[in-house]
Amino acid sequence: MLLVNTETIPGHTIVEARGLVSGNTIRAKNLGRDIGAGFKNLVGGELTGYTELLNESRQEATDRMIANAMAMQANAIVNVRFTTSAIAGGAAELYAYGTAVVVKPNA
Amino acid sequence: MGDLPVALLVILVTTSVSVLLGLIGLFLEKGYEAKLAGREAALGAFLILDLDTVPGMAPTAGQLVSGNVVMGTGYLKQFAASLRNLVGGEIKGYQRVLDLARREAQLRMVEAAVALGAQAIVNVRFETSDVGGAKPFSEVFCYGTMVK
Repeated sequence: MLLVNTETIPGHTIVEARGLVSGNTIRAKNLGRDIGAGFKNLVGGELTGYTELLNESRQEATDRMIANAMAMQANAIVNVRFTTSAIAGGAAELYAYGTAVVVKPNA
Repeated sequence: MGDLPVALLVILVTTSVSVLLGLIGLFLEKGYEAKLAGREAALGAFLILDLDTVPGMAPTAGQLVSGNVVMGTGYLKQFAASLRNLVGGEIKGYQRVLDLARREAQLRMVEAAVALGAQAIVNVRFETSDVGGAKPFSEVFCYGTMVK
């Protein structure tokens, strides 16, 4: 499944727009990583545990969006946007949305 | 009578530990920034735009690329920020951390694009968000469409 955050895909033509698709995840922080991060935060610097956690969560949200697009028989998603919001209780919602389209490669 | 020296000792120890942690943090930050600058220099002048297309270029392929990082500010900077918050104004310590985080996220996106053989990245967007929870951790997320 081809994903871009532009309106069109280079080298392809959009044949049909199937509709808006989205995927989200709500990820609560992991206690072990939080304690590790607390220690790392004493000196500062990158919190790799959290980076990985959010990376995986965002990938999961994207995979759900792709699954929705496949259910529409689309073969690409354009104008992909991401949002992240902190939710009360130490959780974060990651949301990915875009327009599912059918594209064909330019000859 | 014996409480006062103990209390002073506790204050002295916590202050010195905090300052020590802060100095370690500063030292680590300088080392990290040097490495970051090295990685940026290794990439050379890679074109990043927040336009939809590269003017004058007709690419044949494109794909979403992204990079993210979560940075902690460090205990001493948090304390300094709370002091700054009493009088208001720019919090330079936090600004420095977020600047490094933004550069790192952007660099990861560019490295991902270069690995795919990209010539440029268009429609670059940045997003900074609170990770959630009691501590002030921020995630910087950078994404765009690589073209070649």
